[in-house]
Formats: sequence, C-alpha cells, structure tokens
Amino acid sequence: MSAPATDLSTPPTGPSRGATPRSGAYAGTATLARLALRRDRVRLPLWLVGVVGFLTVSAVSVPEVYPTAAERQARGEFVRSPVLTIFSGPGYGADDYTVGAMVANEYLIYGLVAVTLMSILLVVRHTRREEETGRAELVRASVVGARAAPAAALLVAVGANLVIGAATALALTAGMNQLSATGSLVFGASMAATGIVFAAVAAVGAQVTEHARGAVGIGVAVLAVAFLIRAAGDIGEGRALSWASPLGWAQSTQAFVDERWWPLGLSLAAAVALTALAAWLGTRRDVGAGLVAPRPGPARASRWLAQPPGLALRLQRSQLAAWALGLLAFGAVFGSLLGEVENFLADNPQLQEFFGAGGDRALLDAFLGTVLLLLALLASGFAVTAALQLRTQEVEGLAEPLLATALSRPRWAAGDLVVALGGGSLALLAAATGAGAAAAVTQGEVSWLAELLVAGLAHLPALWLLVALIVALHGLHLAAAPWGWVLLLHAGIVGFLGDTLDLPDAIRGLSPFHHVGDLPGGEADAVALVVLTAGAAGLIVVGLLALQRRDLHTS
Amino acid sequence: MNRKGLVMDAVIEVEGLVKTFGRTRALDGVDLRVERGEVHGFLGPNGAGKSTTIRVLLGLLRADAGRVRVLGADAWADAVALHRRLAYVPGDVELWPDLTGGQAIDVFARLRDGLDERRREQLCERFDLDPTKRARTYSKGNRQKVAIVAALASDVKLLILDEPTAGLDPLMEAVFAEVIGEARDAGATVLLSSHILAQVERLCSTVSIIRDGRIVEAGTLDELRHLTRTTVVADTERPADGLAQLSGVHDLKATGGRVTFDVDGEHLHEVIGRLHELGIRSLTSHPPTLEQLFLRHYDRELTGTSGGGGR
Repeated sequence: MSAPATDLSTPPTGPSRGATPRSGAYAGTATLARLALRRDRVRLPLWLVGVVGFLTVSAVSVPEVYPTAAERQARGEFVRSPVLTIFSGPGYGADDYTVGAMVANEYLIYGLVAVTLMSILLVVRHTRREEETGRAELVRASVVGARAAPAAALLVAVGANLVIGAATALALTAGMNQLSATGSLVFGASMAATGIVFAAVAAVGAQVTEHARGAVGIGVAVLAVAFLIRAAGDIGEGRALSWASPLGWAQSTQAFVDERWWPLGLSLAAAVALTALAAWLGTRRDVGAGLVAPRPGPARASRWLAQPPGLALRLQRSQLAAWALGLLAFGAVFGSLLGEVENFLADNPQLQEFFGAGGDRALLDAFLGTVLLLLALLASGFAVTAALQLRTQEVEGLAEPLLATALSRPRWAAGDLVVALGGGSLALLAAATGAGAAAAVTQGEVSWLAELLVAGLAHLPALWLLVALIVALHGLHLAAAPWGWVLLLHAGIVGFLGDTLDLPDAIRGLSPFHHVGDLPGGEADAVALVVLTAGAAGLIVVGLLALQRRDLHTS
Repeated sequence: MNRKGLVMDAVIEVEGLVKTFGRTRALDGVDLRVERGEVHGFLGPNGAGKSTTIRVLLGLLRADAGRVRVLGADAWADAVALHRRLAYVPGDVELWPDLTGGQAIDVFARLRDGLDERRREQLCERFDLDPTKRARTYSKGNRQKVAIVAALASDVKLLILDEPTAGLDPLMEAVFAEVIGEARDAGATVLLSSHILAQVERLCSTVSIIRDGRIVEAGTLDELRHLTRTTVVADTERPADGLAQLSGVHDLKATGGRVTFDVDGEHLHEVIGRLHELGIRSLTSHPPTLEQLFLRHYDRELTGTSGGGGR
C-alpha cells in the first residue's frame, strides 16, 4: 500500500493531532444515507402507508360516527374528562367541537407515538445496531468519518418524518372538506417535528449503551415519560407541566382550532440540542463501545445458569426489571389520578346522568378499565419481545451450540417461554399493584388494591395467549414469529379505537383482550378466561412439537 | 447399539445423505465413514457442504434422504441422548455478549452433563483464556477458545470440529493440535472439518474430501498419496530430456543439467532407475502435500486454499 509513502511526502507542519479528528468527520454521510434508504426501502414505505392510512381512515370516520353537531358537542364534553384527556389531548376547541378539533384532539397523539417509534427504531438500527453487529467497523475502516453514521441516520429520519408529515397533511386536506389546509399542515408539521425530536433522543441513547435493545429502551422510556408528563399536565391547571414534554409542544399547535406554529420552535431547538449532545458524546468513545465500560465478571457459572430458564432470565433480567419497575410507576401514576376523575364528575352533572344509576362508580370503572388495558398491552409488549428471543437466539447462531449439547429443543425453548410468561405476568401484576396501591392511598379505600389486582389477574390469560401464539408461529416457521407484534397492535387498536372506528365484532373478537370481561367493576368472563388459558396451552404444545420437526436456522 | 458384533467399528456412518434448501441441493448423496479412534479430516472448499453435513450429524438439520448413524444411534431421532457423548465446536462461535467466557464454558459443559473441573482449568491456562472477560470483548479467536475448552473439558467419545482454528494464531493452533492428539490417545474419535490442509495433514490419519455436496475421495492419507504424483528434482551427468517419453512422467522441465518433473506413484520405480543410468549428482523428491491433492480435485477453486495451506 502507498499510505506510508504519502505520509512521508506530507511535510510535518501544523499542530499534532488533538482529541477530535481534524477533518472529514462527515465523510461518507451521503453514501451511508443512501445505504440506509436502500436497506429500509420496504420498512419506511410501510410506516408511511400505515401511519397516513390509519390517520386518514380515522379522520374520515369521525363525521360518520358523529354525524350531527349535537353529537359532536356531547363528545366534546366527555373529552374534557380526565379519562379522555389522559389518552388523547388537552381538549382545545371542546367548546365548539368540530370535526377538525376532534381529529386534532383525539388522533394526533396516535400519529405522534407512531412517528416517534419509527424514528427511534430507525436511528438505532443504523447506528448502535451496526456497531453491535460489527458491521460498523468495516464501514468505518473505509473513507467514512466518525460522525457519518449518526448523521446519515438522522438525515434519513428527518426525511422520513418530513415525508410522513407532508403526506398526512395532504391526505387530510384532500380527503375531507371539513379540514382546512392550514390546519392539516400544522397537524403534519407537528408529527414531523416530534418524530425528529425523538430521532435525536435515539441518537443520544445510541451513544450511551452498547446494545441496540438498550438504546431502543432509552428512547421508549423517554417517550413514556413524555406521555406521562403531558397527561398529568393536560389534566392539571393551565397545562403548565405539558410544556415540559415534546408531545405537549406538538399538541399545543391547536390544529384546526386556532393554529399556531411557535410551539414547534421548541421541538426544533430540542432536536438541535440533542443532536449536538449526541455528537459530543460520540467523540468521547471508541467504535463499538458504550460510554459505560464493561467490567470483568465471574469466571464460573452458577448452577441455575446452566438451566434454560436460568440462562434466559439472566439474559433478559435487566429488560424485565426495567419493564416491571416502569409499569409499577406507570400504574401508580394512573391510580393516583382517580381523585381527579371523581372531581371532574362532581362538576359535570350531565355526565353523571350519562353513566346512569352507577353514577360516578361507572365513570371510574370506565377509566380504570382503559388504564388496565393499556397496562396489560404494555406488559404484553415485554412478553412479546421476550418470546421473540427464541427467534433472535436462533438467527444469531446462539441456539446452535446449545442444541448440540444434551438439550432437547422443547427444553431450550422453555427457557424464553418461562421468562415471557412469568416475566410478562410479573410486569402486568406490578402495573396492577401500582395502580391499585395508588388508588387505595388516594381514595383511602384498601379495597381498590384487591379490585385492581383481580382485574390484572383476569388479563393474564390474554397475555399468555399472545406468547403462546408466538411460540407456535416460531415452531412452525421461523420467519412467522414477528407477526406476534401485529396481533398486539391489533389488540391495541381494538381496545382503544374499537368504538370510535365502529369495528365489527368479528374483528374485535380476534383480540384476546376483548374477551376478558368488564374489569374492574363488572364481572370477569370465567368461561372465556378458561378458553384463553387452554388455547394458550394448546398453542404452546403445537409450537414445541413443530419445533422438533423442522430444521434449525443455519447461517 | 450392538457394536461388538461388527468387524469394523464405525462411529459415524453416513450413506446417500441428501439435503436440499429450496432448489439448492446442498448435499447430493454424501457417504462418510469414520472409524473408532481415528482423527478423520473432512476437507473441502467453502460451500462444499462440510457444515451442512455436520449439522445433519448433530440433528440440527433433518436429512431429506439417506442413512445417518452416529455412535450407533440415529442422528435425528436420538439427538439429545447422542449429544451427551459428543462435543461440537462450530467454526463461527457466537456467545452471549453479557456472559463471561467462563460462564459460557460452564453452561455448555453442564448441559452436556459432564465437566472435568481440573481439565477445564488446565485448558483455560494452556489456551491463555481469561474466563472473567465478557464475551462481547472477545475476539473471534477467543470465542473459539471458549468453545474448544467447553468441548474438551467434557469426557466425550466423539469430537465434531467444524473449522475450529479459523481465528487462532499459529501458537494457539499448535496448542490445539497437541490437545487433539491427547484426546485421540485417550480414545476419542475426531471429525475435523477444515480447508487448512497443513492442519489436516498434521493431525489426521484418514480423510474424506467433499466437493459440491459429494464425497469425491476418501481413504487414509497414504492411500490418497498413491493416487497422486511425486515431484522429483534431479541433477544428472547426461541430459535427462528423454524421460519425458516415459509413461507416468508429467510436466518435465530441463534447464542446464537439472530436470524437474512429476511422476505417478506406480511408475516411480522405473523412472528413478532411468535417472540412475544417467548418473545422478543430486536428487530431491517430495510426496505431494495435501495442498496438491486438493488442487487436483478443486482446480476451479484455487483461490483461498493456498493462503490457508501456508500457515
């Protein structure tokens, strides 16, 4: 090679090399961005179609479900209740609840969460994931600057968010004459700005941890905190707290009501600041390393580590602990809001009438039912990732040497299965305990704890069924396993939007959570719970038997 | 498992093994026989079907056709029971990044129900492996050492090694050769897949050569050498150009008083006789290296083999 010769021919003038490379930190950014686009050529269009399609269909269904102004106004009253405020928006325009106000208030949040998740996954996929697999080393060894990979990932994320925002704005204006062009533009811009903020959050997360999963976890945790802050802020006086949340900024643009652009300035400032932070952190570490250096560990394995469940638990323990503690706190926040819900009800006699004889108890139950469903779906999120470890371990070649020992395939699979079922159950019960304990304390009634724990228990069979379905899919066909996510997404849509979208019963029935019964307050559907549990057991047996019959994935 | 009645004691018996992936016929009627106590080299270029064959032997892949017996049992149906008596080292070792190398060794060995504590310690020392490091900080070679230590720290009858030294430096490769020799002396049977010819030549007594999913040659190293040519370099008093006319002589080159040629094994005797008549001043001859054997069978895949053979 000619490199030494070139070095000699360059006169040794100028200062010696400092901590940061002198130039070319961004060399190769354009090429890497094109590479990312090429690798995501299926994923990104799917996100685009999914997000824009969902928002458009939801918006179009509003005038159908609420055809008269009176019906919309009744909805507007309800929207101000903490129940809906927590899960949707601050209730701008509820006094004159137009179609546009409804779309902005109740659907923008879904668009925000969707682009946020897309941005987090996208940025981590093209930064930390590349380093974790070792591909980044090969890339960085060519003419590629230290900041090229994060810069390319952010460029693609910014582009994707702008496209999705523009497409949403276009689809809303073009699809519905009730929606103004300005409002649609503000709506789309709010989504794009929020997605960009979280792309920058993920870029910071990717600097901190060595693992892609950890980086995604940081992004999702920030999203959860942002959601909680805006929920608490929106039901509080003057929404002061909501100004501390990127989701709150986006919802403050008041699309279709009284549009204003300046809150998005906060989003852009945050995105710039976070990007600078990520760039600074990036210069303080080696390729492949995180900011936290690994320490030596034990030279010997404990007895339980050589058992598949012990091994699976060891590998997933930090995720499990994070989810369980996070859900405990999440549940506690919701449980403590019970008082707010009651106060609101006392101020709104019409709503008490609406809920009939049950009065305030019915509203509380409706609120807690929604909360529990959300907590159960989040706990299922952990259970699904835990069960999908089966696939990950097999694809990454970690299953092969294990199965070459005296370990049968069902016993191998039992490891991740136990963690998914047990850990998912633990996370769900932690959430229910948090909600129940907080409700009991704020209401001064211990019975809330028992009631919410029972409601949490009743949701367990549905969670088990999701896990069992993934085990069955994995056993039958390796590539089919990730479809478990689709089922979880479906359960979420049915649970939160089933009524608004007026989904037919046949579609709602596909969600295991649809059969749980009306809890708390109502009765659990005992037969359904037994059927769900038996179905889960059957699917697990199918999965384990099928796993013994197929070829193992080999590289 | 009525092994006593058999004259030959085959540890691995594969007949007519076929394995297809979609339209690709990865294995097209493989026959492989490994006798008790031998170190059997399994040679072939990348993509010839070595790893696929080994994964069928391990019951990780299911044969589409053919008979696959390992230690007298069915490789697919009896996989779990079989795996107590064998150990496997893959060519590309993946470990759990969070666990230390020592933990990984223990997990593998205990799942096989057998861990010789003293041997584990000795092997870690001989391979210079720090078992307290997290696997994510290990190089490819260190990950491979983990798998090798885990395999050899168990008392097994059969070792299946799939290009086990691809990431090891020459020093560690020598340690590996030593350790395999000890395992053989202790009565273990070894199937060693490799495309590193020098290694197979040093360690193995018998060899099967696979190409495009078929075994193209099998036998002891001595038998295979019979099939090949010996290279002769000689300085003679009188010109030896006439040798080119003899049957069995190939590629003869004469410069000054020196001739260089290859000769088929069965004609060696008469060719040397003729050289003697011409007055030999100096004579060197060497048996074919496995590399030459290899090139004869894989002349299309010249690249990649010569570098490996030179290690």
